[in-house]
Amino acid sequence: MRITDRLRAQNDVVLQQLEHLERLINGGAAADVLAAVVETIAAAEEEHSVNEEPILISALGRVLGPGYPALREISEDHRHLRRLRSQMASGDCDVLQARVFVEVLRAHLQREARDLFPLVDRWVERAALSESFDERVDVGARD
Amino acid sequence: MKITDRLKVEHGVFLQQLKVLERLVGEGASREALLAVTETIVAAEQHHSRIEDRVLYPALVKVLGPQFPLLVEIRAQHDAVRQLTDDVRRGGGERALVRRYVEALRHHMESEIHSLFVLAEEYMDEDDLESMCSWDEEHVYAEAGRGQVWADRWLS
Repeated sequence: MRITDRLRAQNDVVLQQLEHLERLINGGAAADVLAAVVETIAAAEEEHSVNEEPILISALGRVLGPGYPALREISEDHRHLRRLRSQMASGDCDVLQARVFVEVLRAHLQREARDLFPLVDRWVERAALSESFDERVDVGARD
Repeated sequence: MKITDRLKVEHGVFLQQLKVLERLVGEGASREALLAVTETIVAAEQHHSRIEDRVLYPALVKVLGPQFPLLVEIRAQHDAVRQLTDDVRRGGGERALVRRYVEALRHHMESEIHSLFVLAEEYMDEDDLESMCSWDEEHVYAEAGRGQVWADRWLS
Protein backbone atom coordinates (compact mmCIF):
# COMPACT_ATOMS: atom_id res chain seq x y z
CA MET A 1 0.00 0.00 0.00
CA ARG A 2 1.35 3.43 -0.88
CA ILE A 3 1.63 5.84 2.02
CA THR A 4 -0.48 8.37 0.11
CA ASP A 5 -3.26 5.78 -0.32
CA ARG A 6 -3.25 5.25 3.41
CA LEU A 7 -3.43 8.98 4.10
CA ARG A 8 -6.18 9.52 1.48
CA ALA A 9 -8.30 6.80 3.10
CA GLN A 10 -7.86 8.43 6.51
CA ASN A 11 -8.78 11.82 5.06
CA ASP A 12 -11.95 10.43 3.49
CA VAL A 13 -13.18 9.30 6.90
CA VAL A 14 -12.44 12.69 8.43
CA LEU A 15 -14.18 14.55 5.59
CA GLN A 16 -17.38 12.57 6.16
CA GLN A 17 -17.20 13.33 9.87
CA LEU A 18 -16.68 17.06 9.23
CA GLU A 19 -20.02 17.10 7.41
CA HIS A 20 -21.60 15.62 10.53
CA LEU A 21 -19.94 18.27 12.73
CA GLU A 22 -21.19 20.98 10.39
CA ARG A 23 -24.75 19.65 10.73
CA LEU A 24 -24.40 19.79 14.54
CA ILE A 25 -23.16 23.39 14.36
CA ASN A 26 -26.00 24.42 12.08
CA GLY A 27 -28.47 22.59 14.32
CA GLY A 28 -27.43 24.66 17.35
CA ALA A 29 -25.64 21.93 19.34
CA ALA A 30 -24.34 22.88 22.79
CA ALA A 31 -20.70 23.88 23.31
CA ASP A 32 -19.77 20.69 25.20
CA VAL A 33 -21.21 18.58 22.38
CA LEU A 34 -19.21 20.48 19.76
CA ALA A 35 -16.05 20.23 21.87
CA ALA A 36 -16.44 16.44 22.21
CA VAL A 37 -16.95 15.96 18.48
CA VAL A 38 -14.06 18.26 17.60
CA GLU A 39 -11.83 16.29 19.99
CA THR A 40 -12.88 13.00 18.35
CA ILE A 41 -12.09 14.24 14.85
CA ALA A 42 -8.96 16.11 15.92
CA ALA A 43 -7.53 13.02 17.64
CA ALA A 44 -7.63 11.11 14.37
CA GLU A 45 -6.22 14.04 12.41
CA GLU A 46 -3.38 14.59 14.85
CA GLU A 47 -2.35 10.94 14.75
CA HIS A 48 -2.26 11.29 10.96
CA SER A 49 -0.19 14.49 11.03
CA VAL A 50 2.18 13.23 13.74
CA ASN A 51 3.17 10.46 11.33
CA GLU A 52 3.13 12.77 8.33
CA GLU A 53 5.41 15.54 9.63
CA PRO A 54 8.59 13.63 10.50
CA ILE A 55 8.39 11.29 7.52
CA LEU A 56 6.68 12.87 4.51
CA ILE A 57 7.39 16.52 5.11
CA SER A 58 11.00 15.94 6.07
CA ALA A 59 11.58 13.56 3.14
CA LEU A 60 10.13 16.11 0.73
CA GLY A 61 12.06 18.89 2.44
CA ARG A 62 15.29 17.08 1.62
CA VAL A 63 14.31 16.97 -2.06
CA LEU A 64 12.51 20.30 -2.55
CA GLY A 65 14.01 22.37 0.25
CA PRO A 66 12.36 23.00 3.63
CA GLY A 67 11.05 26.39 2.48
CA TYR A 68 9.06 24.95 -0.40
CA PRO A 69 5.66 26.77 -0.20
CA ALA A 70 3.38 23.72 -0.16
CA LEU A 71 5.40 22.13 2.65
CA ARG A 72 5.39 25.33 4.70
CA GLU A 73 1.64 25.65 4.30
CA ILE A 74 0.96 22.06 5.34
CA SER A 75 3.14 22.43 8.46
CA GLU A 76 1.42 25.71 9.32
CA ASP A 77 -1.99 23.99 8.98
CA HIS A 78 -0.85 21.28 11.40
CA ARG A 79 0.24 23.88 13.96
CA HIS A 80 -3.00 25.83 13.53
CA LEU A 81 -5.10 22.67 14.00
CA ARG A 82 -3.14 21.68 17.13
CA ARG A 83 -3.72 25.15 18.60
CA LEU A 84 -7.45 24.98 17.86
CA ARG A 85 -7.73 21.51 19.39
CA SER A 86 -5.90 22.63 22.50
CA GLN A 87 -8.06 25.76 22.91
CA MET A 88 -11.29 23.82 22.51
CA ALA A 89 -10.18 21.01 24.82
CA SER A 90 -9.45 23.58 27.52
CA GLY A 91 -13.08 24.69 27.53
CA ASP A 92 -12.79 27.54 25.09
CA CYS A 93 -15.21 26.10 22.55
CA ASP A 94 -18.08 27.93 20.92
CA VAL A 95 -19.86 27.80 17.60
CA LEU A 96 -17.41 30.19 16.01
CA GLN A 97 -14.38 28.13 17.08
CA ALA A 98 -16.02 24.94 15.83
CA ARG A 99 -16.73 26.57 12.47
CA VAL A 100 -13.11 27.70 12.19
CA PHE A 101 -11.99 24.15 12.97
CA VAL A 102 -14.21 22.75 10.17
CA GLU A 103 -12.96 25.33 7.66
CA VAL A 104 -9.28 24.97 8.52
CA LEU A 105 -9.33 21.18 8.56
CA ARG A 106 -11.33 20.87 5.34
CA ALA A 107 -9.01 23.31 3.54
CA HIS A 108 -6.03 21.40 4.92
CA LEU A 109 -7.30 18.05 3.64
CA GLN A 110 -7.93 19.58 0.23
CA ARG A 111 -4.43 21.05 0.24
CA GLU A 112 -2.95 17.66 1.04
CA ALA A 113 -4.88 16.00 -1.79
CA ARG A 114 -4.03 18.75 -4.27
CA ASP A 115 -0.45 19.66 -3.32
CA LEU A 116 1.20 17.23 -0.94
CA PHE A 117 0.24 13.74 -2.09
CA PRO A 118 1.17 14.32 -5.76
CA LEU A 119 4.57 15.60 -4.60
CA VAL A 120 5.08 12.53 -2.45
CA ASP A 121 4.03 10.17 -5.25
CA ARG A 122 6.42 11.92 -7.59
CA TRP A 123 9.48 12.56 -5.46
CA VAL A 124 9.70 10.18 -2.56
CA GLU A 125 11.04 6.71 -2.98
CA ARG A 126 8.17 4.38 -2.25
CA ALA A 127 9.88 1.45 -0.61
CA ALA A 128 11.89 3.42 1.92
CA LEU A 129 8.93 5.57 2.82
CA SER A 130 6.50 2.70 3.31
CA GLU A 131 9.00 0.93 5.52
CA SER A 132 9.67 3.88 7.78
CA PHE A 133 5.98 4.75 8.01
CA ASP A 134 4.95 1.19 8.83
CA GLU A 135 7.63 0.98 11.52
CA ARG A 136 6.44 4.17 13.10
CA VAL A 137 2.78 3.18 12.99
CA ASP A 138 3.60 -0.25 14.44
CA VAL A 139 5.48 1.36 17.33
CA GLY A 140 2.52 3.69 17.88
CA ALA A 141 0.11 0.75 17.90
CA ARG A 142 2.21 -1.05 20.52
CA ASP A 143 2.16 2.07 22.70
CA MET B 1 -4.63 -0.17 -3.15
CA LYS B 2 -6.57 -3.28 -2.22
CA ILE B 3 -10.01 -2.88 -0.70
CA THR B 4 -8.79 -4.77 2.36
CA ASP B 5 -6.03 -2.18 2.84
CA ARG B 6 -8.52 0.66 2.58
CA LEU B 7 -10.86 -0.98 5.09
CA LYS B 8 -7.95 -1.66 7.47
CA VAL B 9 -6.88 1.99 7.37
CA GLU B 10 -10.44 3.10 8.09
CA HIS B 11 -10.60 0.65 10.99
CA GLY B 12 -7.46 2.28 12.38
CA VAL B 13 -9.23 5.65 12.47
CA PHE B 14 -12.38 4.24 14.09
CA LEU B 15 -10.42 2.27 16.70
CA GLN B 16 -8.62 5.41 17.73
CA GLN B 17 -11.86 7.37 17.93
CA LEU B 18 -13.42 4.63 20.06
CA LYS B 19 -10.64 5.30 22.59
CA VAL B 20 -11.70 8.97 22.66
CA LEU B 21 -15.34 7.96 23.15
CA GLU B 22 -14.35 5.58 25.95
CA ARG B 23 -12.32 8.36 27.61
CA LEU B 24 -15.29 10.74 27.39
CA VAL B 25 -17.53 8.14 29.07
CA GLY B 26 -14.95 7.82 31.86
CA GLU B 27 -14.64 11.59 32.26
CA GLY B 28 -18.38 11.99 32.73
CA ALA B 29 -19.20 13.78 29.48
CA SER B 30 -22.87 14.63 29.01
CA ARG B 31 -25.17 12.09 27.34
CA GLU B 32 -25.72 14.55 24.50
CA ALA B 33 -21.97 14.71 23.90
CA LEU B 34 -21.65 10.90 24.01
CA LEU B 35 -24.51 10.52 21.55
CA ALA B 36 -22.98 13.13 19.21
CA VAL B 37 -19.57 11.43 19.27
CA THR B 38 -21.18 8.04 18.64
CA GLU B 39 -23.02 9.56 15.68
CA THR B 40 -19.75 11.06 14.42
CA ILE B 41 -18.20 7.61 14.29
CA VAL B 42 -21.37 6.10 12.83
CA ALA B 43 -21.49 8.77 10.09
CA ALA B 44 -18.33 7.35 8.53
CA GLU B 45 -18.63 3.77 9.76
CA GLN B 46 -21.96 3.24 8.00
CA HIS B 47 -20.45 4.14 4.65
CA HIS B 48 -17.57 1.80 5.41
CA SER B 49 -19.95 -1.05 6.35
CA ARG B 50 -21.96 -0.51 3.19
CA ILE B 51 -18.81 -1.10 1.14
CA GLU B 52 -18.15 -4.28 3.07
CA ASP B 53 -21.76 -5.47 2.81
CA ARG B 54 -22.23 -4.61 -0.86
CA VAL B 55 -18.84 -5.48 -2.28
CA LEU B 56 -16.40 -7.51 -0.19
CA TYR B 57 -18.78 -9.71 1.76
CA PRO B 58 -20.88 -10.92 -1.24
CA ALA B 59 -17.68 -11.62 -3.17
CA LEU B 60 -16.46 -13.79 -0.29
CA VAL B 61 -19.83 -15.54 -0.07
CA LYS B 62 -19.45 -16.38 -3.74
CA VAL B 63 -16.10 -18.03 -3.06
CA LEU B 64 -16.70 -19.63 0.34
CA GLY B 65 -20.47 -20.12 0.49
CA PRO B 66 -22.99 -18.29 2.70
CA GLN B 67 -22.65 -20.72 5.60
CA PHE B 68 -18.90 -20.39 5.99
CA PRO B 69 -18.59 -19.98 9.79
CA LEU B 70 -16.53 -16.77 9.79
CA LEU B 71 -18.93 -15.10 7.34
CA VAL B 72 -21.89 -16.09 9.49
CA GLU B 73 -20.12 -14.67 12.54
CA ILE B 74 -19.21 -11.39 10.83
CA ARG B 75 -22.80 -10.99 9.60
CA ALA B 76 -24.02 -11.47 13.19
CA GLN B 77 -21.49 -8.89 14.41
CA HIS B 78 -22.71 -6.36 11.82
CA ASP B 79 -26.29 -6.91 13.00
CA ALA B 80 -25.23 -6.55 16.64
CA VAL B 81 -23.41 -3.27 15.98
CA ARG B 82 -26.43 -1.91 14.07
CA GLN B 83 -28.72 -2.91 16.94
CA LEU B 84 -26.46 -1.25 19.50
CA THR B 85 -26.31 1.91 17.40
CA ASP B 86 -30.11 2.03 17.51
CA ASP B 87 -30.03 1.34 21.26
CA VAL B 88 -27.61 4.23 21.89
CA ARG B 89 -29.89 6.52 19.88
CA ARG B 90 -33.01 5.39 21.70
CA GLY B 91 -31.21 5.69 25.03
CA GLY B 92 -30.10 9.25 24.20
CA GLY B 93 -26.41 8.48 24.78
CA GLU B 94 -26.90 6.46 27.97
CA ARG B 95 -23.45 5.62 29.36
CA ALA B 96 -23.79 1.83 29.68
CA LEU B 97 -25.15 1.53 26.13
CA VAL B 98 -22.31 3.65 24.75
CA ARG B 99 -19.81 1.36 26.53
CA ARG B 100 -21.46 -1.69 24.95
CA TYR B 101 -21.36 -0.02 21.54
CA VAL B 102 -17.63 0.69 21.96
CA GLU B 103 -16.92 -2.92 22.96
CA ALA B 104 -19.01 -4.40 20.14
CA LEU B 105 -17.55 -2.21 17.40
CA ARG B 106 -13.99 -2.73 18.65
CA HIS B 107 -14.46 -6.50 18.78
CA HIS B 108 -15.99 -6.51 15.30
CA MET B 109 -13.18 -4.46 13.77
CA GLU B 110 -10.47 -6.57 15.37
CA SER B 111 -12.23 -9.71 14.06
CA GLU B 112 -12.26 -8.32 10.56
CA ILE B 113 -8.63 -7.19 10.68
CA HIS B 114 -7.36 -10.51 12.00
CA SER B 115 -9.76 -12.91 10.27
CA LEU B 116 -11.96 -11.60 7.46
CA PHE B 117 -9.39 -9.52 5.62
CA VAL B 118 -6.79 -12.27 5.97
CA LEU B 119 -9.28 -14.69 4.45
CA ALA B 120 -10.10 -12.27 1.62
CA GLU B 121 -6.42 -11.83 0.78
CA GLU B 122 -5.92 -15.58 0.83
CA TYR B 123 -8.88 -16.55 -1.34
CA MET B 124 -9.34 -13.60 -3.68
CA ASP B 125 -7.29 -12.39 -6.59
CA GLU B 126 -5.16 -9.33 -5.80
CA ASP B 127 -6.29 -7.51 -8.98
CA ASP B 128 -9.92 -7.95 -7.96
CA LEU B 129 -9.21 -6.63 -4.46
CA GLU B 130 -7.56 -3.58 -6.04
CA SER B 131 -10.38 -2.99 -8.52
CA MET B 132 -12.92 -3.09 -5.71
CA CYS B 133 -11.16 -0.11 -4.22
CA SER B 134 -11.37 2.18 -7.23
CA TRP B 135 -12.64 5.44 -5.76
CA ASP B 136 -12.84 7.09 -9.18
CA GLU B 137 -15.01 4.38 -10.70
CA GLU B 138 -17.19 4.12 -7.63
CA HIS B 139 -17.68 7.87 -7.60
CA VAL B 140 -18.68 8.01 -11.27
CA TYR B 141 -21.23 5.24 -10.79
CA ALA B 142 -22.57 6.80 -7.59
CA GLU B 143 -22.98 10.23 -9.17
CA ALA B 144 -24.87 8.64 -12.05
CA GLY B 145 -27.24 7.07 -9.52
CA ARG B 146 -25.92 3.62 -10.39
CA GLY B 147 -24.00 2.73 -7.24
CA GLN B 148 -25.59 -0.71 -7.10
CA VAL B 149 -24.41 -1.42 -10.64
CA TRP B 150 -20.83 -0.78 -9.52
CA ALA B 151 -21.28 -3.12 -6.54
CA ASP B 152 -22.99 -5.78 -8.65
CA ARG B 153 -19.96 -6.05 -10.94
CA TRP B 154 -18.29 -8.16 -8.25
CA LEU B 155 -21.18 -10.55 -7.98
CA SER B 156 -21.73 -11.61 -11.56
